[in-house]
Amino acid sequence: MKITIDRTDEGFLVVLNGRVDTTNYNAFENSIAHLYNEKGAAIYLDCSGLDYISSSGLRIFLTLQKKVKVQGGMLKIFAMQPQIKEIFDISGFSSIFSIYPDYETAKHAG
Amino acid sequence: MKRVKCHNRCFAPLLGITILLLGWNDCRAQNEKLVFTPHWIPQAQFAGYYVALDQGFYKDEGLDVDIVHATANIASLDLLKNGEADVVSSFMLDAMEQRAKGVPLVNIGQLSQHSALMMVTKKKSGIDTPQKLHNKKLGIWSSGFEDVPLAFMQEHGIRMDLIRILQTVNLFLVDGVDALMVMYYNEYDQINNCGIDEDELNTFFFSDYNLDIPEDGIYCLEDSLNSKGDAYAGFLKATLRGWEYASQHREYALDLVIGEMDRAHLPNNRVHQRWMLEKVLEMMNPGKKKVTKGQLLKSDFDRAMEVFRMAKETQGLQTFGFEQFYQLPAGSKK
Amino acid sequence: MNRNRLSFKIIVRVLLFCFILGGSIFTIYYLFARKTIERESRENAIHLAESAVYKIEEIINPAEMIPNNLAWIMETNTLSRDSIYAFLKQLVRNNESVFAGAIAFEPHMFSEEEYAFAPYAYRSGEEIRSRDLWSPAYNYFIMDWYQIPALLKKPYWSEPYYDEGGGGVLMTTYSAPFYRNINNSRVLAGIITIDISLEWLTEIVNSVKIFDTGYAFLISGNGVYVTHPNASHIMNQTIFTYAKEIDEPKIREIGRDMISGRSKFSNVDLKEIGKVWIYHTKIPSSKWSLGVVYPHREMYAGLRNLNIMIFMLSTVALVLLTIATIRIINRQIGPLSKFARAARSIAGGDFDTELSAVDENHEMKELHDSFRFMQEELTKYIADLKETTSAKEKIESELRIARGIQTDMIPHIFPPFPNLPEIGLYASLESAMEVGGDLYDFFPIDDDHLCFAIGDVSGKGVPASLFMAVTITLIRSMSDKNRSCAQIVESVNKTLTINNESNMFVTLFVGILNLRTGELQYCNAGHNPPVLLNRNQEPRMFSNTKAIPVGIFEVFDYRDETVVLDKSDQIFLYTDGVTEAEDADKNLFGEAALIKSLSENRDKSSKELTDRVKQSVKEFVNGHTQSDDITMMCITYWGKNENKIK
Repeated sequence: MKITIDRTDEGFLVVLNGRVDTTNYNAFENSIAHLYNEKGAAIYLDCSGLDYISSSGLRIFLTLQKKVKVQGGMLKIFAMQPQIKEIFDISGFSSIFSIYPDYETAKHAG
Repeated sequence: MKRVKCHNRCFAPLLGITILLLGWNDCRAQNEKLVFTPHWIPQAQFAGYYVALDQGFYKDEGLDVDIVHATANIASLDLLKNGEADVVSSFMLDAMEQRAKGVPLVNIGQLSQHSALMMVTKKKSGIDTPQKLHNKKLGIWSSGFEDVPLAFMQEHGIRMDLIRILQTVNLFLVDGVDALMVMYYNEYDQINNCGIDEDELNTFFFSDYNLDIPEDGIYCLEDSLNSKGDAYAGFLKATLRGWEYASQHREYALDLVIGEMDRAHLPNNRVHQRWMLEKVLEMMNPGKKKVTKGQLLKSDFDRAMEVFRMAKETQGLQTFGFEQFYQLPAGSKK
Repeated sequence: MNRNRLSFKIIVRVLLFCFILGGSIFTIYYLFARKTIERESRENAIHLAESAVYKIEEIINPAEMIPNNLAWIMETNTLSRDSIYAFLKQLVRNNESVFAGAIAFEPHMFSEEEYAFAPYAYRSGEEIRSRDLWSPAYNYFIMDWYQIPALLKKPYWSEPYYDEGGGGVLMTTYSAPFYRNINNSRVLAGIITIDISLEWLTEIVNSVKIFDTGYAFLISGNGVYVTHPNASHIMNQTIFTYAKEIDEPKIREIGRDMISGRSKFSNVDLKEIGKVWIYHTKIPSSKWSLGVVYPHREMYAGLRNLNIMIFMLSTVALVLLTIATIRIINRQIGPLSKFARAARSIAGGDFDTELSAVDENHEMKELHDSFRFMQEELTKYIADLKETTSAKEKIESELRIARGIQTDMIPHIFPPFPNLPEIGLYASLESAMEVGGDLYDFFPIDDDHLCFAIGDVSGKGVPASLFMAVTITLIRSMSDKNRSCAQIVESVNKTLTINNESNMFVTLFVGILNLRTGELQYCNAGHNPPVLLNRNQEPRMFSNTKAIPVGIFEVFDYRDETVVLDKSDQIFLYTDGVTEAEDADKNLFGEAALIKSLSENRDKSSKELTDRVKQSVKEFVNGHTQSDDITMMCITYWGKNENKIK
């Protein structure tokens, strides 16, 4: 798993690569934890490189979304691979996350 | 201490006189004076006589023996003849010659039983058989000993030029003669001691050619023997004892020999004298001959006589028998 | 020394090396010095001998001239008896080196009537006297001095002799033949002799000094010692009797070389003075030979003294070297034994063992630092090990607890309802190493309704298992015949959401089957859609739900859905542990493979079907470690009043 976080004009661009599973979800949470406290931040989560996500990983997505909303910001997820989208669909998470096909669409979406 | 000293002083002259009188009587009564002359200059050839004298064996026989040596120029038999010697040692054939010439001498003891006479040639000369000696020069002593070589030549049908020499081996060493007469116990070793190795020499031992004639014997005049037979018996006995002792104590005997030679201012060395003593003692061993020490065998006498007649012109000479020539002193007849 | 075995070895080797090196140098030096001394001694010996011979010849040569000249006079003149005596006396008087002279005639050569005549002039004290040598007792014709030159027809040097008339002086005679022409033939007329005292010769030879015990000696043509430091040898011994006396055949060889006139070096052991070099050379005029004797002991005395000095110095040097080496070695490698002690102490468990200090800039310093590093690392490692061990133990006990909670909460007895012939039910939960938080449950609500649930808690371990336990408890307590599935799920959701700080959630599928009618009411809160199996149709997945897992939002509108089962229809429920089972290459088992497996086994009983799917998964992962709980549940609906077949 590899994570890069860039501050952009729009807010933060988080690029997630590889797998998020029970072995590394803690590291994933630690590396994005500082975003929990960003006031009104718009966080763009690039999932194009995400190959697999376990329920532990989903929990962190959920936590991030909750925290960001509490701080008045928002989380936009984009460019999910089909099998990741499927997991989101199965678990019903597609309905509680803002999911976009790509970065541009995510930026322009309200 | 003082008393003792006094006693000595008192009795000494008396004691001295007593001893002098007793001693004088003793000498007069028992010690027969004999002059003995060996037939050559002092050397180990006469070791037994020196030992007998030094060990007091002659004294034990009541004899007062004086040894007076002959020289190269004067033979022992001449000294016996003219009365200067009472008893002499001599070469048997020389003694026989004198007896034949009328000197009334008798053999009272034959010490050597074998011949030590021999001839040597140098191997490089190629002379290795009697025949090759024909017409060759033979160095031979001027003092005699020619009977045996003459008999040898006659028996082998050869003749040789006899070159008379005094006593050294030098003429042979410088090749002045082809062959040299030597005594095995003396000149043979001298040649060796002048640096000629034994294997550089050819040897002709006369004993190997049926000429094993006994050599050194003891002689005296017949009259003397008759008048004082006991003295001669004692002399013979003491002499044989001396030789026996010399053979048992060779180095001691050699000491005496060297002493005699030194007194005569003769060059000497122990190595050569040791060789001589050893060989002379060998000559005295009977070997195959059935003979006792000091005895002359009739067969040896007869052979010697044969040689003598072969070598010498016998015309005008007296003839004599074994019994006349060999007479044991009265006291030694057991 | 045992404790210092290494230092002992180093010392021994260093010393051995020094010893061998020193020994080699010394040997080379010694051999070289010896060679030099030998060469110089040889040259010196040759020089000494040659110069002595030269001096001797200087005297002998004129002496030889006298008879030779005299022979010429005698051959050409006939002198009267008196004039011959006068002439001889004058000759002796005029030549200091001449002791006596004689002219010995052949028989009847001087006069017909006289057999022999040998006029002789000789010194007697200060006077010169004369006489005729001939007498019947002195037959000079058989004397060597006459006979040998006469027979050989050439001059002859006699062997040395002590002259009785001359007071026992050692003499030698030079004799030369002279001839006369008689009847036109040259015949030997006599021998002319000159007697020379050899005292001067002795002086010359004795003046040759070689160290303390070395000497020169002269032997005659017969090998007789003419001069020798040992006076008893002179005239008594020949070199050959001496060889026999000391039993040294080599001397005899030297003697033979000498009398044959050769010059040579020989090495021989003379018993009296030990080993010697002998150089000999001939006196050309006579056949005599001069030898010089070099005693080894003295020849090499200087060398030996030097050797003793070198040996002593070397010994001192070796001792000093030993002491220095021992000190240096002990100082240099002394810390090693201390390290060894420290290492033993550390191995024994005392990691705080004090290390001895060592000098800077030193290999020992490196060793010391490595040791210190090892010590520190060991200490750290042991500490880490203790910590990890306890942490691991803690984790393992937690895992055990988690698994215990999980397995205690789910029903295990199959078949669960022997008195309900309408259904065949089988469920299986295989916990992963780290408990995944899967759950299933089933229980009748009344005679006609069976409630069942399957779910998957997010996360792992104890928190997940506790969350799972709570969820099962909540489902059981919320279920009664008045509630629909959605109501049950909503109740559970509401309860779980309260104080759920960690945002854990459960995907949950709850269904209630009407055993009489086959109507199945269910509510899917984000769980994997179950598969419906009909004997005559391909397996069919339930559609994806729009409802999110429970525990996320307190208020969420969960909806009931309904499906009617035909008799012998089967519902297969599972968690993502099945579809996301991985092989070594991280390929997922996937829904397609699941459907395929189910399709192949659709006429099987609940248990058999479950086992077959489990088998398929197992074959797929091919031994790869299971990372998530694998949970399956299969319900076969037989309908009311039907005889149970399977």
